[in-house]
Amino acid sequence: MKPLVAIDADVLGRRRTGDETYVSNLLRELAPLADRERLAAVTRRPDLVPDGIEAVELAARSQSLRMAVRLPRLLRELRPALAHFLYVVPPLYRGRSVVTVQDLSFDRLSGLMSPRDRALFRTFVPRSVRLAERVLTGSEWSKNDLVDRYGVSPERIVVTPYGVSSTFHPNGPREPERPYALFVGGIQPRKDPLAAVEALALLDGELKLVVVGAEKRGGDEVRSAVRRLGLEQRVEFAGHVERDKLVGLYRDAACLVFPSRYEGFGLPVLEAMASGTPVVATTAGAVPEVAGDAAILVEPGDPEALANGIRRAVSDRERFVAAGLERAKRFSWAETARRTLAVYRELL
Amino acid sequence: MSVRVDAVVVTHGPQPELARCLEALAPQVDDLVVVANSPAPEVDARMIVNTKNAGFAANANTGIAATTAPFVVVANPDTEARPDAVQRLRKFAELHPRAGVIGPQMLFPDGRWQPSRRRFPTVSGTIVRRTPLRKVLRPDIRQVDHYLLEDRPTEPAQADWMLAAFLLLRREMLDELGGFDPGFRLYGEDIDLCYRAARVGWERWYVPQAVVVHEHDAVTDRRFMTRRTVWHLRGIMRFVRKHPERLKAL
Repeated sequence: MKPLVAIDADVLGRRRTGDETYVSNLLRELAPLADRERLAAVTRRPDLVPDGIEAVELAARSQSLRMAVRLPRLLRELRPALAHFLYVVPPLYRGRSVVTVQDLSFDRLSGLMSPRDRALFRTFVPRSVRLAERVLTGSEWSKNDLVDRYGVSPERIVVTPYGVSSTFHPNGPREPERPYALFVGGIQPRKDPLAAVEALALLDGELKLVVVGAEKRGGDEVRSAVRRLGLEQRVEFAGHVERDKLVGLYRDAACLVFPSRYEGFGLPVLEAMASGTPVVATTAGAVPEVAGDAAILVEPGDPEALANGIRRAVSDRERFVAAGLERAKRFSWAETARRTLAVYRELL
Repeated sequence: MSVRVDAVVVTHGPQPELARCLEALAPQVDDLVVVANSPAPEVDARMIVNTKNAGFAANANTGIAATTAPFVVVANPDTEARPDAVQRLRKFAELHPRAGVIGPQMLFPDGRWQPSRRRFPTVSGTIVRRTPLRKVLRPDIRQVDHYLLEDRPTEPAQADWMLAAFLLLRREMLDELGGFDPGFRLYGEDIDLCYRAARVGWERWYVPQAVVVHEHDAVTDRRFMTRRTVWHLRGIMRFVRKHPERLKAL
């Protein structure tokens, strides 16, 4: 009988941006590869589980209750040979496990989440990375952070760089009414939308800023900056945007502005590159690893440098479009899945 | 027709093994360049001779610039590649577009395995390895981690860095990084190159199916203070100056 691998896919359908993109692409690419094992996704949204993967429904109103009681109980019934979690291995789960930790921003930066959630993460993530037989992460930078911060032995960490879906591509109508720079990411200090707004204020003329992403902590600060700088006509908050619409937004943008202060990977960088859009980003965390020399990189927290970067992206557009398209080809979710499956197989 | 591979051999001073090195390498690559500080040895290969003494990194860059293939082997004269070593490294590199540095399995001339796949250095580990403390603290036993001594993979495995005695490098990566840092005289340029490669997302792979015999230069390991120890310490200082974040990693 084929061994069962259970994957915690609770993020599906929860607009958790990076985490959700990771899980849904991983499942989709794992399905055709895993011919020697059975894969099951534990989720509240079975409709979002791709063909070839068994969907196991587990509704969850309280996240804590789910992790503390319901998920371990379900896993006791399923008896997987291996379970794959995101960030946290449920305390009562006793089986073998793999855990994916995207980055340690919750630990390194305060104010990302509520103090209660942060305390929970800081308790359970270190414990989980000790317990799990392998820790997966998207970049060497995050791997080093896991070694430095939690003392995980480097042998147990496997880097599975993330990819970019073929939905993002450069071909299609381009019809921006007005040129705009695009910001993609949660409205929170870690992603530093404030720097993007301040950079816009330094650029006169036509250029707009479109801010895509759900408001987290720090939305008010950004809005008041927009008012203070008199940019109400030039900044548009689009909120959370479904992927189909996002594809067009990337393609039409003059450039992506990605002023992040801490990044375990930086998916929007690749998505923009694959869409044929120049990228202006920071040197924070894993961004240089993802962007290479195909983007304009500036120090985090420097709106002036960011503004200069945007000018360069616009004036030298052709070059950065070509470099970005080339760079994006190096990353694929199929490769992420192959490396992940290799880890499962090593352990099974 | 397979993708072309060129090779650069950097030699300093008289090297008795050089002829054997070139003999093993020449049939495996498309173009072979020897870069030497003068006086130049007599060899049967294209030769670039420096008028003033340059370090390994600078000479390697000169050789890389004198070749054109998408892959370039950089080798020390005291290495001898098995007949299919380059081909195996190249095949791996072609299948792994993310791999920028690909290194073979290294053996001592007597056939013993030579650990060439290593971790990025930490401060305390280096102090112990490079001073008389090593007599007491026995890094060869305690620092199994650094040398990855217990881990002798039989399948290709990722590495932090590998000895630059013999490496296949992807030109696209070298162009992006600007090659080796010529500020390193004799030690550290390999760690630095791999570290910078890692920072921009190039992977370093150890491919044990490719085998190279390496007469590992044991001078540094025998005596405490030689000119080479000084170069070595300077190399470490430069690495730390360039990458101060590594100081965190004790």
